[in-house]
Amino acid sequence: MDSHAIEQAVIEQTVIEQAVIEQAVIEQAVIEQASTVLAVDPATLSRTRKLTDLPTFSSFRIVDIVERVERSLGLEVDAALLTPDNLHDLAGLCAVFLRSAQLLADRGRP
Amino acid sequence: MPSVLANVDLDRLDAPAQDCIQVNLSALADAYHGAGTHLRLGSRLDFAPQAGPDGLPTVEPGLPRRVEQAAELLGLVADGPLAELPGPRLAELLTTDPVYVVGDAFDLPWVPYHGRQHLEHSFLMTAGPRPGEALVLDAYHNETRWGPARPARWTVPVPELVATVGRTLRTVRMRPAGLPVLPVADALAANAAQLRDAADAGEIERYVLAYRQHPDLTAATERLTLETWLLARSRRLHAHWLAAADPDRAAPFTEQAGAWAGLAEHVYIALRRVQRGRPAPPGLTDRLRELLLTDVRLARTLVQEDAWTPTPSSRP
Repeated sequence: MDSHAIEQAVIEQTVIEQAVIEQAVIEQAVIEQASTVLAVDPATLSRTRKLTDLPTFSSFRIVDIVERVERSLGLEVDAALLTPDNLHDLAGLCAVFLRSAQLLADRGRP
Repeated sequence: MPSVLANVDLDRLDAPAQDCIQVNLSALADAYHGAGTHLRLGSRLDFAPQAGPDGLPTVEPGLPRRVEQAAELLGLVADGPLAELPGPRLAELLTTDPVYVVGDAFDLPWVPYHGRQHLEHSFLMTAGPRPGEALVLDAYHNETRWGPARPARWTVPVPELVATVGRTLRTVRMRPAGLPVLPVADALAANAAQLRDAADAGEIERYVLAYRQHPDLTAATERLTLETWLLARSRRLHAHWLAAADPDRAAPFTEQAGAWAGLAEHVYIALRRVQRGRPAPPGLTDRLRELLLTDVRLARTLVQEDAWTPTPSSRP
């Protein structure tokens, strides 16, 4: 493997590690904020398939969650991703923030 | 004699499918004519925008029209015109016959809008079970940014009620009359014709363009939040009525009501973003147009008419 290939492999590994860390940070932030806004403990929240099943869920609360996670991560969700379907479960919420982070990173690349 | 308001089964009122003006007329209809009478309001599926605030069209019918609809569909007849009344004089109207009252939600201590937002809000009242008490019923059901509003009925000392309901109210006593004959086929035909005529006259395109092209994005999105909320509730009530009147053909309307609820939520999400000075999610008015045109097509599937396609005036 020549030096260029090694350098490329290191860069790719770093990107993967950053993405993994980012995903973990995003998941933690989403669970923390959703748990607070919906008044549900994190363990119960993680077992909840659809946030809409929770009695404390409403459109008002979901926007509160998004805005709190945005402030916590310093990351604004891409407007096109702000659809109800994307925001009704934890996996969808995390995916929205991850995708927004990726879009932001893509825009920053030369 | 117990108040007729005691007859209302609040759990069977479809309150989440109605607005704050019509829901208490529905409650009164169920009180006088039996549970489920309110579903008759869902027999109408129409699109009739009128000039509204900020130069934007609105589908909000307004209080006088709601009172007319109560006579046309619910077997409730006003015993006179809506009268303005100073809040302190409300006590003069307390008898065993219910009074329908409309005030400013900002003044009403039991709603989440109290002290926060000005908007019309209705309730019902009669004399209470004991002297000096009033029985109040408010069937409104909604989520708000300040918490939920839920249907409730309670007694309150009359001085407390009149001291808290605001300076000016509009009141009318609605009397029970015979329930109008309402053939399902006639209602479906009227809906299909109204929606087709509105579309062919370009109403849908003008409505959508007004919101799409309005120079003040925040004002337009604020109003569109209310519009889609009203449209979603009216479509939901129509689906409920159809499920009772013609259950085999209701499924597409139930699905369409869900689509409207999704758009209403999407517009609300957009509003919160726009209020922060950020871009709105794209495609909202395209989706609005799509759902309005689907209403027309669906209504026409229920009547024996030729397939409908948008005319040039109903296209963008």
